[in-house]
Amino acid sequence: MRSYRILLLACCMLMLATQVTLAFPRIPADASVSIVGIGYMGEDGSNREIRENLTDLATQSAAFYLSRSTSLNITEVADRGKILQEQGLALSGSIADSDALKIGKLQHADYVICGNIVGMGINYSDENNPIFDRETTKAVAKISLHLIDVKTGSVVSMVTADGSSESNSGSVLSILRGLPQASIFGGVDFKNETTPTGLLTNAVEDGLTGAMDKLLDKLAIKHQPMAK
Amino acid sequence: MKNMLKCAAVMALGAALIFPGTDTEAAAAEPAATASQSPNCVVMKFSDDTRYKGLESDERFAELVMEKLMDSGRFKLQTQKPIGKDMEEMLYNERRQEFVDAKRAIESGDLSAVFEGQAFKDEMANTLSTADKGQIVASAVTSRIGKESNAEYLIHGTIVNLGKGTWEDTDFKSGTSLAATVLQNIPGLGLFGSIGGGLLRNANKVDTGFGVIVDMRVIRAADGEVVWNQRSQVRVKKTKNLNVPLYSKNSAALNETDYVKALDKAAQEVVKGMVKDLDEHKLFL
Repeated sequence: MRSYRILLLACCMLMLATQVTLAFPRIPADASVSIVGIGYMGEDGSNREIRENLTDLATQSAAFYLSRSTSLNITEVADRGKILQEQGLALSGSIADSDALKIGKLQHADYVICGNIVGMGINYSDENNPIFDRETTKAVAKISLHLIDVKTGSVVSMVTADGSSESNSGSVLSILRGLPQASIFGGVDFKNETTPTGLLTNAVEDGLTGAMDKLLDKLAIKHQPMAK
Repeated sequence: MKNMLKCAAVMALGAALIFPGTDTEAAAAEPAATASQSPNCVVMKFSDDTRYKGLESDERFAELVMEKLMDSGRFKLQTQKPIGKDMEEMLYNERRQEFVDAKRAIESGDLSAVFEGQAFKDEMANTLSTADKGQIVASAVTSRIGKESNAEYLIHGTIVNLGKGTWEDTDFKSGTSLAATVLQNIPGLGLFGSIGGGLLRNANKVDTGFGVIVDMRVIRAADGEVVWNQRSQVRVKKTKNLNVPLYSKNSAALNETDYVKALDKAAQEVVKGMVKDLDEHKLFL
């Protein structure tokens, strides 16, 4: 009776292993991958230049991440601009999978990665109490990534991740400045000089790193997580 | 015999632990085991019925819904991106003849032709955005999309309403008022109790947030019938002002990230509903 139980357990374990394997999409570890680009969603004329700079940065970072931390064969990102020009394609705003596929085919890639900054913004807040007062500027960005099979045109995997970066300024125990002995200890001021654009850049990079880690984990591709 | 079985169990356990994490050489993308039981679906371009079209809420919402559908591992999405064709425009073109006939009938004064026409049949949906369960969306269009995308079902979403608001947290106010009364009535606290109670009574909290109402529907491509639909209403909030004795916190107005959070929550809700109904066999009968 006990033997049957052990046998049953063994069968269950094997079935579980097979199921888990099937549940995750896989790509060959040495597949040729093209980073087509990261676009942005939402038309906002006033911030267009910042958004375009951030999407360029995100595209470069994605290629750098993959080439540094995986054994995947990454096609030259530099070719992308040339191909876009030759084909009369313009990648602005959000990037459609169909455009990504066209570029992937021209680059003879097996898979393409494209994505979007789904949303980003800056939150300002302040806190006051007798011990400290603090002003916080926090940039947040949500990044999505798609991995598309060039041969079949289907999206193999899709992930989203949030990135953030914040800076604080304020003072600690500034209430003591009102006392006669203020010259001995009059509180401490602290200030972070990071600009809002710098914070947004960090948030986008943080989100992109998170999304890349998530995508590679889903595909069960061995990778070295990048230091944030 | 016993040793053999134990050995088999240990090997199977080993396989279970090692197999899923390291086999990156496994060929081509296999869909999830459970997703393979689902029919092929395609996510259509979503529509936005609000006055904030410039925000591209429909695209953002579709992106978030697709990610969650894929993450659930329960749906086999044939084209996992909203396809480029604007379904509503195609539907309008499909019904153009209907409108022309109606115009002609109105001009001639014979309205019976209008009321007896296709448009006035109960089972016909007036627009894609208002299509309810059991109603038919132009089957010629849906079947064409289905064939082109190799999909049996079309998934479509509509953002019905998007709004923001600011309101006082009344629960917080009731709580602090109650605490103030207790403090003022504790014997022995005297003046401290009175001052503390007074300060607490002046405490207040103001929240601000986004509200989103979305409709989601699944259409059978072959005959254009809406087989499933759900309306979801979500609200995300954050503290705008918090004032309690010796502490205050203020946040600036809502921004894009708060609005994306609301869309994300709405996407979670609709996909949760779809998965639930899939489990209860209410979807894809």
